[in-house]
Amino acid sequence: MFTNQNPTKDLKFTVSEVITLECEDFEQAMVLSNPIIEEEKQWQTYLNALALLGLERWFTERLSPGKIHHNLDSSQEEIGHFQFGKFKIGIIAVEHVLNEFISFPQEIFLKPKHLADFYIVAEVMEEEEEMLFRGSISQEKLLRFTDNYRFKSSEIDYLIPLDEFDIEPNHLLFYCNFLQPNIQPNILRNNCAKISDWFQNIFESAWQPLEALVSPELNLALGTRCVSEEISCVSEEIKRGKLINLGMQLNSRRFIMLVTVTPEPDEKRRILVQLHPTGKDEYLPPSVQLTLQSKAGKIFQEVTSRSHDNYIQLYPFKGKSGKKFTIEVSWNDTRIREEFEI
Amino acid sequence: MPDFQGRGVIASYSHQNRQTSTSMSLNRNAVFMGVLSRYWKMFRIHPASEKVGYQTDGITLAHEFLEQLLLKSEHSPSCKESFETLLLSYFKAQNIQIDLQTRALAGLCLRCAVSEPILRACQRIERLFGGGHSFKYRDLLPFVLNDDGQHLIILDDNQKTQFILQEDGSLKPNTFPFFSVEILQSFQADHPTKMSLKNWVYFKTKQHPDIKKFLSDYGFKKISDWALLNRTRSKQLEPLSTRDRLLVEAFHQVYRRDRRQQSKGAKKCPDPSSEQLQEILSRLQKHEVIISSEEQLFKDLKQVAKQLRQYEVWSNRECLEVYNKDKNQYEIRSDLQQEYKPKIEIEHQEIVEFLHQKLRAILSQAIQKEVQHKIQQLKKSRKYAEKASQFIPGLQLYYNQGMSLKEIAPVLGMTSWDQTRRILNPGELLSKIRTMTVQNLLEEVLKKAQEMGLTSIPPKPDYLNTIIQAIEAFADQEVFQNASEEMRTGKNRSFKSIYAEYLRAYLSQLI
Repeated sequence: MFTNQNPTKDLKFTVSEVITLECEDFEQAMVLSNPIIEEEKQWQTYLNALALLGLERWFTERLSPGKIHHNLDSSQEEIGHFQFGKFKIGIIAVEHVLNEFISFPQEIFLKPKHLADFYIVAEVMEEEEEMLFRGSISQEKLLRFTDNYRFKSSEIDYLIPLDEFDIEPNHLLFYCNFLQPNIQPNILRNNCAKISDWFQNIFESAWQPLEALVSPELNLALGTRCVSEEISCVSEEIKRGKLINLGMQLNSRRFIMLVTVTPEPDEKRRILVQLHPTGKDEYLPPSVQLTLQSKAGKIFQEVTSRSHDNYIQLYPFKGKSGKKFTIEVSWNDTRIREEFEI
Repeated sequence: MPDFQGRGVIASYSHQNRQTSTSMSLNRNAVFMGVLSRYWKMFRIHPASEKVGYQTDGITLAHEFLEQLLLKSEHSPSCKESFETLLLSYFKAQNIQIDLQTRALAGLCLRCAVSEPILRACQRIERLFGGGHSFKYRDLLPFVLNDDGQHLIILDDNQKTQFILQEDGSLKPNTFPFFSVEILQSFQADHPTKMSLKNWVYFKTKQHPDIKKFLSDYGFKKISDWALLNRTRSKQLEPLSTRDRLLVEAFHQVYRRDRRQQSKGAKKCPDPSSEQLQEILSRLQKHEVIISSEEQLFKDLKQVAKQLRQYEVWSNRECLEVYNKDKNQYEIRSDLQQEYKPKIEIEHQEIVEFLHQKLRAILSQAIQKEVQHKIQQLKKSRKYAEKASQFIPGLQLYYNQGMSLKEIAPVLGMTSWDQTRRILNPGELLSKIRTMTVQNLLEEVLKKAQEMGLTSIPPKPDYLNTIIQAIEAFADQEVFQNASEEMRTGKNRSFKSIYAEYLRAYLSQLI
């Protein structure tokens, strides 16, 4: 005499999707949150980074390679995000859901273009070194909800009931695999680095001076020989490096992308892009690929590491101010794209 | 069914009506009785049922009473509210026109109707706690799912006291009041907030004093005081004194900062060190909070953590309301418990057959791929590479011998339960195989549906959604529900599901 229960619903009632976090995740989350000064924000960045790392891995392991574009830097924003094919996925990292509401900062609704296509609620259990997938919601549903309900004007955040979220993580996977985004895809993969700003001494937070990247605390020593050469640089040159994380977590590697820009006549700039190993690694692993692409994805140059390369680099190239290009680093099944505007 | 059998009043009541029913109305009745099953099926606690801790029984008296009501009235069960309202008006009737028997029987139907929401509320509470808790929803059931469905209950005129209506028509106080009846007692259908009965059940279950106490005792049991302090935000600090708030803030400044730098794998957050306590003390001094010693500060922090273990600190009630722009008023969230809509049917028999045909092949493919994938992943891992060869033997011990991860750890020379779990992780493997199975079925079905002219590719979101749910339900029913349940069974488990069978078969090929 059992009632006709929905087995799927019952299954999910008692089994939440648990995603384990590994030591490497914590190390990386620490590095990403270190530059943040304000304590509460620093802790949130730390949680955001953990959630991003866990979820990106969760998706990567379940998808055909190359569909996920990491964006760990976004952990420093209020809501971290990454790109899944054409979809932008926002990650809301929380430490509990006992009040059954998920808060969205009001300001994200002020810039609808920046809204993600889907949002995921991730409960990070720092002490247990695990996280739970708590649910996902599409932008459309989120907006429908916020349209219907007005919130008290004093509230800084929109509170969306947890029930509005779909608790089955597979659904998001399937939607992204089988649907076309019905809105314009977000091209904000990684923030585009503006090299012209670099000459005004304005740098995106991810692009660090070399001293910051060789800091022993971060355990990220560039190959020593090469660094001493690099630091004694020509005065007009600008050198900035960014930490790049590639690979699935159990097997992830960190690299430093080093960009050296030298001004040339006629508003042109000469650009040299290198990829270095980090930490104790003396060599890059074999078959890491570095490519220079046009904005539209056309490949201009590529170089692949062999078994004992200390670093690899693209031939220096020149471009006029305002021109855009993309550098892609790929290794095994994962890739990261960095966009630049000269 | 033993319930109330052989009571004169009921027997004649139903008998009389059955004679008058036509075949037309019987058909209509049969359909409606299915829809109305929640009014005559009761979820009752059943500790012997190891998996779920409850069972569902049809309550004959409630069933018969409903049949009567349907035949007698023009009430259509499609209009749920009106039916519920009718039952409530009978149960809570204060005029003599409604006899005690009818009141009690209407109440019995309503007690059935709230039994499932009570169960779901407990399951939901468990799920909300996520990790870190050390209880199962089954532990909550004795507090709230205590209606045995064996007695007819009515309320006194003040709606305050429960009485048992005995066979001879006399009343005696119910010395063990049922929570289901308490919910009905306090429910006001005409309250301006318009909370549904289901939501009221959820609300009352969460507010049940024994549940609250239990959750305060066990809800955060696995979390250290320090982790609990770490996860505390301004919302949770509100009920604390200013001094305690400053304590937590200073603790965050120091402990959270350092926590990020600690190497992980040690699990629990360690006690704050002497240096950390000193730093917290000096930060507090700036806010004119003077604490005499490190020891005292340590005790005070522990005391704050104790307060934070109260369930109420984390689950606040104010959010029950949301503003409805159309009606220009605040109202109770309608979504507290979403109703299950059993609409997911695939209409085309051809597709159903197709699913059955494909399932097994797709399942064994998914098993093969995910097992191989996991081995590759372990081999590449810095931390677990040397244990990669243990994966197959480990899974075999788990699925062939029924050994627990704890028992497997020493056999395979692993250092801890946690390490074993992270390497073998049978739950994650199951979940990945489920994902791949559903995804591949989905792909096949979409192709098939396109051939049949049922959809375009890419499909429309609504169509995809329906198909996903139907395929998921199908795959879970056929394979994954059992596979997941047998994994959750405690001791002496054996794996008999199709999933386990297929997995074992594949593993034996690999050896």
